[in-house]
Amino acid sequence: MATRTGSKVVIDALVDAGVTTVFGYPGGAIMPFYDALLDSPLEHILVRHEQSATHAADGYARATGRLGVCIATSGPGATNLITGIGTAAMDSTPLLCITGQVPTSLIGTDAFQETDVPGIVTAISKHYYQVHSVDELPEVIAEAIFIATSGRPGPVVLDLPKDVQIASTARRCPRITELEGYNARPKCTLSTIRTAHELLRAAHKPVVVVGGGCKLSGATEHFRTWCTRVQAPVITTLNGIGSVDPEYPGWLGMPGMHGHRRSNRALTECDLIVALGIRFDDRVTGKLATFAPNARIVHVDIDEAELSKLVTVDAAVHSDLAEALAAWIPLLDSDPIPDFRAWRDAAMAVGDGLTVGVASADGKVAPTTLLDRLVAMIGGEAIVTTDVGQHQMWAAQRVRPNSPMNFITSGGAGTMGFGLPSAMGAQMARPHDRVCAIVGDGGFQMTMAEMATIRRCNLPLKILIMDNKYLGMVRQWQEMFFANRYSGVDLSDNPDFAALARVYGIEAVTLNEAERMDETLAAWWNADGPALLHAICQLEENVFPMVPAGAGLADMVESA
Amino acid sequence: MKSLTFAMKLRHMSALPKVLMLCQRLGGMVTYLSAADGQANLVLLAPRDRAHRFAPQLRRLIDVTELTELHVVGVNAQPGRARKLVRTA
Repeated sequence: MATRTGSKVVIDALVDAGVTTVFGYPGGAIMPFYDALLDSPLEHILVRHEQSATHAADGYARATGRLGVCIATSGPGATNLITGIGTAAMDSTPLLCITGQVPTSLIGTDAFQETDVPGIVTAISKHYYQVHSVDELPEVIAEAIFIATSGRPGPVVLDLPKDVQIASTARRCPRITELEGYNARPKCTLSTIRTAHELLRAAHKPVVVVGGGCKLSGATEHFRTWCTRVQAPVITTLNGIGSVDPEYPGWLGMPGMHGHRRSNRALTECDLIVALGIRFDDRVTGKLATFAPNARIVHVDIDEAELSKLVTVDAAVHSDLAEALAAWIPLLDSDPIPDFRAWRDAAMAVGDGLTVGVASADGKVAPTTLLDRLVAMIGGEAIVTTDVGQHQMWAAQRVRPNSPMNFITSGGAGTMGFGLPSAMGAQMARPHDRVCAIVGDGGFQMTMAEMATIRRCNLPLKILIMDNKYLGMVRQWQEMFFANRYSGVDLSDNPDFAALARVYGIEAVTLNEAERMDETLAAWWNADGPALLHAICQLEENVFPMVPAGAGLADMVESA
Repeated sequence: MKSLTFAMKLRHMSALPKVLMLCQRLGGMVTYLSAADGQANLVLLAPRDRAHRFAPQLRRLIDVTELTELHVVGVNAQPGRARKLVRTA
């Protein structure tokens, strides 16, 4: 019977799962796997730091819905993956992280580059495996892929000792569609959907809040159909942006700390929240005790642990969202709901409350104006990734993507350094689509070595650095809540990022005068290959609206 | 604090640390644990306002294949016995 090495078993399973590209960084304990990669159809992208491999794989997964794969060696290679694993876990990205490990005979001996990977990833992964025999591997890799991509997706870590990568087995990978005790695709009962429907029928001011669960369950089309029928105002959380049809007349925007005025106002005034694939994050709810004080709540989620975790709900629907909406849509015909359009229009009329950029005396670029112009220029077809901070919130307030897979950002974890490598992964996954990475001067410097990867792969993505010489969001909090005492946020000696990009072989331009904004943006966006735009922005612009930490949504402030 | 009692089946006994770490993260204090042959019984004290989070989050662990929460039935409900643990779905 034909045998395969452990490395080949894993590679074959990845190919069978539809993976085309993997991101990684080699080292001693993963060398047999890298050797086998040479003979595989998988494209390997050599990143410049393992953290970037996780973010790139994350971007690849979020842009397509497919499994993202990253690879690192043992010891420091594995520990450098940790931030990315945690990021993927918080936003439920299907990720397989393959780490080399010292040979099984050396595990537990403090061997060179040995780290207790299972011990480290226990709390931040959906699941992990350390494989001790190659004969276990076919079943383990099939399980790992199934777990990463099913149910509420998440990162799975596969720790592969070197001898397991080399050894051979005749066993085949089983086809796994279920696991004992693991409900991969919970289906709602008609009675729970009917309960939710009755609450909707009884409502006068319902608000729909849709989150990342919509795209993860592939429910976008179901959701848009359901929305069109219900005609209630709709709010999208940070990871739900793009779920609503851009033409839908009742899209209120984002809720919470930097949400749109009309979203937070509607949540405060509504009498029903229909929460679809969200987890009531503290950045969304503000102070829980005052959150949606008049509302009953319907919550649909695939993860039972999210139901009534933070907010006690009136109807809990434990279900895959696509299944739930497919069951709900027929009820809208057989058992009609009230006409919510007057309430929807009134909620919209409250306005977004967004900051309008004001020209400054020094002629520097107003960041919100820059993003307004950018969004108008690139349209909803382009993929936008962001880093974390002020630029992320300004972008989230303004983008209107056609698909939830076109806005990629680190929501739950808020990981600086995510924007550039995730754009790389998205561009690899969708080579024919336009990709724009919007980053701040702080986060960019955490993973900017990936400019080398971008140049090598000639990825035509466009990088916008919004440089305000500060860690802007922290500075804003220090201004507002720490009496202007700026501590550890000064980046006034930033390098010339355009010059730096050119050293890496990337076309770059600096924008430091607001009046040149449109022509500079157009030239940068229309460049043939990768291009970087270093925008010198006004230094102390703040993100508004803002709900101060610990305050309720009704306490939203719109200016300093 | 509220006392919670769970009986669970585990895919591997090596999943026990994960169970204990989760209980600690949720603010629980484990007061009793017995485990053998892929089964574990666990008693813990949980903050009253967070007690509802333990069962679903434990059930979310891939290695916990079955979880039953056991409830103490009062003396009056079970004449002749000081207390009894009953299983609920």
